[in-house]
Amino acid sequence: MADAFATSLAELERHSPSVADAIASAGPGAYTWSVTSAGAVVVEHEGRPLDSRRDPAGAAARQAATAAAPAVVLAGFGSGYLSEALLARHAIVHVVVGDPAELAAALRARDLAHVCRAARFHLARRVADAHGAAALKAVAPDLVAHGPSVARSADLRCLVERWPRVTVAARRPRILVVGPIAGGTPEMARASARAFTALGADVRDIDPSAMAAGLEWLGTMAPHAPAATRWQDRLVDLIADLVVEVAASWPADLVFALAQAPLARQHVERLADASVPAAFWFAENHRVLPYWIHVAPAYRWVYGIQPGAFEARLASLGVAHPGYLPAACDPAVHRPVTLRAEERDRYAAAISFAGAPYVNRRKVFARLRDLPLRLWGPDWDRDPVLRSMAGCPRRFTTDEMVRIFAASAINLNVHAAAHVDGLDPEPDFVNPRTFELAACGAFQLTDWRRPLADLFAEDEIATFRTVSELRALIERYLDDAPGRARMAERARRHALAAHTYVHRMDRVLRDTIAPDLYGACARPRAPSLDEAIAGLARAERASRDELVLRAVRALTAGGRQVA
Amino acid sequence: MKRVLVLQMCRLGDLLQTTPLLRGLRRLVPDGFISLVVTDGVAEVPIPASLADERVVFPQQALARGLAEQPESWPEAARSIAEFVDRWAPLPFDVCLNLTHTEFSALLARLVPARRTIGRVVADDRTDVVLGPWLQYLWASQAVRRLSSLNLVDVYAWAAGVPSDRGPLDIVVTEGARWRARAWLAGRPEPARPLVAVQLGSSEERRRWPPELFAAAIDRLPVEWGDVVLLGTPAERPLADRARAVLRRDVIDLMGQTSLEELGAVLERCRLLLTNDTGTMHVAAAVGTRVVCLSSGPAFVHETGPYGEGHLWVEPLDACFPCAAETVCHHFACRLAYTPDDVAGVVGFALGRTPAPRLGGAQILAGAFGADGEVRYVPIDHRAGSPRERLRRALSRVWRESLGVPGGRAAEHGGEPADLAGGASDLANEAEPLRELAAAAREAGLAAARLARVRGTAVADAGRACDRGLDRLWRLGAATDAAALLVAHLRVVVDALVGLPLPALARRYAEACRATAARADRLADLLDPRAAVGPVGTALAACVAVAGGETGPEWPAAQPPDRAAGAGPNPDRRLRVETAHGTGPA
Repeated sequence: MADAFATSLAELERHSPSVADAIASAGPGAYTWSVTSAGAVVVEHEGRPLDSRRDPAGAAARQAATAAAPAVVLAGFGSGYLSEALLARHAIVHVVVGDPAELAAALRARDLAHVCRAARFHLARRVADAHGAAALKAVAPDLVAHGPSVARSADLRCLVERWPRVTVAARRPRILVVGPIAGGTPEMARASARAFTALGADVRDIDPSAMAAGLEWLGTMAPHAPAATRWQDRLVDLIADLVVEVAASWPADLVFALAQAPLARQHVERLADASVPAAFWFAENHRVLPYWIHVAPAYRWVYGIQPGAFEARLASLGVAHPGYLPAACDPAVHRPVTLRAEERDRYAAAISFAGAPYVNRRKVFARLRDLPLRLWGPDWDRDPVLRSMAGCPRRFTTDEMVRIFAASAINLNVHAAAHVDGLDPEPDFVNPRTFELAACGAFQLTDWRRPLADLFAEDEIATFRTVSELRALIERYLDDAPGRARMAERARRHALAAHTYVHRMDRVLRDTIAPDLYGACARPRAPSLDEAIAGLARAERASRDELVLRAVRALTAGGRQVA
Repeated sequence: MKRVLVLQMCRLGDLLQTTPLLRGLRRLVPDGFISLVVTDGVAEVPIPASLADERVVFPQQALARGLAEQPESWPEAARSIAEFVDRWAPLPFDVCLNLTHTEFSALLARLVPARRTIGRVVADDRTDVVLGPWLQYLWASQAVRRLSSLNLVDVYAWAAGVPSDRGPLDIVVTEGARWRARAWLAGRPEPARPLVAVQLGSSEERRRWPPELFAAAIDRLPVEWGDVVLLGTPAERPLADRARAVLRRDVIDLMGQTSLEELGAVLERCRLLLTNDTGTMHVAAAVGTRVVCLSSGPAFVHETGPYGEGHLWVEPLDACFPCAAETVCHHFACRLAYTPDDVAGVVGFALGRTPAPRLGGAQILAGAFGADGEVRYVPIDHRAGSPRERLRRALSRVWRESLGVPGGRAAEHGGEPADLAGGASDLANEAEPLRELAAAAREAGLAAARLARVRGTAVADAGRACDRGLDRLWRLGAATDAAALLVAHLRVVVDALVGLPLPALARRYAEACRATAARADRLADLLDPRAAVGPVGTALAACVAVAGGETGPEWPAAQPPDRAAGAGPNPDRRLRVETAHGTGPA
């Protein structure tokens, strides 16, 4: 059955990758299988059969008949007969696997590739909690338990006992994402908003970065600096008032603010007065930007990218739920790209760095002047020592960034540190660039960070602690294209599997949103009204259905009456 | 049996302003079946049940609220709309009359099974068009609102082919409501003293005179003129609180307490209503109580003034008045065009206590019936002969003559008395651009007619000539307000020509251009009679009913309005104002 097992695993890999990974890493356990007198294969655990020896298919069919809904959850897999019986009766079957070794044994014992193709598999430890169960119930209201599997798995028992009490809200959670006016996190805010949407929440994204020019203009028009600050503060206050009003009138279930969002402490308190909870992702170095001390205590949840000391500091300030939420990547944006010839000519480099010319980076790169290094980003040409390495002295777009990554054999990632003469002496955070490079499938050399070991394996991202180590790594990898490609691919797989914004925002939703509302996220989303209208509007003449849908849209937009 | 559907999906005032149309329809098609569609916002408005055989409530507000709260519920909303229109699938209407000028109503008008639609409707090619000459006029008039010259009530009625019957708006006031009104107003120290009702609210800020100024005006009214009753909805309570904070005299505060029927019953007992442009104003007009309306923002007497004789309207003289519906105002200057002293003076005049006051930044207009039974508002003071007023009156005449008033006399008898006299010279400047416009419209009409005749390769050349002619017309539309209005109307008419083959389309373009030329000539002649070019009546009569080939619906055995009775169903409650030119009400 080796071929059948490989086929089944390939199907699992395609539709339920986390379960496929779990099977691949699971040992054989105490599972064996036997063939009954009627020729049926039954998986056994420590000699006890997991399904009826006499008529496993018939028994499974009788149990499957007890479920009524078109979509069902199967808790436990056994020998796979129950999943086959359910698939014969129901359109959608979600299998919750308690012990991956049990599933592995069944796939080895029987040819179940059709089940792996048709059903969706989940690991019990991920869906047994209140949030996971609600999400499961949103897509499949009935649960069928495979008794022997449930008996041996605490997670499955928890799920089965919880199931009758699990409820799913009628509407999706409403998340209001607030980005900064200026600063380094507008892209993170947009990616977070996209991730919340992908997770199934209703999202409104307040992106005030369009006001950055206005803020700057106010600064230039004011007669003196204090006046400039005063006027700029008023603009910031205005935006914050807008946020509060939108959040309170919607009303939002959560306001998710990024570092440097234009919300002062009083605005967050006003949100709380309006019963709108707020979370804050301070994706900056807390030692460099200390203003968070004033605003953080007003938030119920505050996340930082620095584990340990920052969380303790937040707790001491009275933040109810401090947490560590590392930066992430957005696979829709940060992806491998194929370069056209002219793009390759423009961006090609043996070694490159893309980012801002912080002092510590300039010091590091000054010691690499003899190497074929290109520096991308604004103001590198102002440094007399590094001018000759400057690629294009202006801000690059995200689209350009992924092309720079793709065109470079080695991408350097040197974390920024203020007032430091070289590498960051307090390496307690991992910057977004690390994840972005990984997701792009780009090979990177990164200065060593304490939390990195929990995020990536050593054979995924190479790190250096000194410039000398960096030189050695460059020498080692510059001519080792296959080695670079292997590491980059491993890092990419890991980034996509565990470090996307969807993973991060899922954690935020689980922390901040009640299970029934969280469950509603999983409800299949119908096409939006505009999508439905666009689909119908391809016809030359407006159809009745299109007119009806346009009437619905007109109702949502309101109308104007003449006179 | 004729089946008629009337879509009236706006607010309280709009529904009340539709009642003369419904009354006339009932008279024209006594055995017809009339369906009236209203929204859930006005489901409880007490109009007589006899006006429609079927009153169907479309849950517009509930659906919109549901969609706002749960955008994903759109499939259910779509199902509700489909089910709503499908109820009539077995028995289509002969005419669907859409009086609501919203995108939604245009879609609904298209979805409802009807052989003919009048009003805004979505065409096959997904464009919004307006059908029917009078509703085409109404939409075009929004391009130059300050030249609007016809009351919405009359335009609605004429759109349905119903003559104006000089009757009031219709509302039902039951004896129960009258009893409650009597109880609320009993126990006054001086029961014989008249009552003056005051409505502080309005649908939007621009239309609202500040409540503090209302309070100041009320304080200036001598006590013997009447006891003041505050009326309004519960949502308008904050306005009453603001007014009462500065008010020095006692008032009877019924704000938020009355149902619509009770509101009518209270207003019946009042001598006068002082108000902003509101639904309450139309209720007062319906029960025959004189109205003094303080207008600002988009509220415009020549469109939505209280229907009937003897009502007074105070109108700012600001250059930007009236503003468009979508204007976002930052100064609200027109709300300060009249002072509390001015308003107290107008109330005194309306109550017959004082002569008409002279206002600095505003004018007073009074309602009266015109030759075609239409309500018109005329300034009562020295500005009666202002150029814009006379231009508006000339336009009113041109529209009535050219679009055809059901049962009207203006076109038949060569028009009404020459109320344009006395100052024609200052309007002569307006005539020249109109004559140029008329020439261009005739030329464009000729080009379009040629396009309708030619075949083969000549079509391209003729098409280009036609385009050039129309382009010139659109450019001339920028010359003056009057030209802009006529060109806007031509655009509405030709935009409605959807789905015709080229020769027919070109013929209809030609007709529309010729009609515009006749209108421009007629208007120029009225403004500058010394330079009149020919027999105007015949030219204009020829363009009646060519507005896009659309006319009013043809009802069987149309009966003339009952002018002998003179007052519709409620003659006793008619206001007895002899003149609206400064002598004051009787």
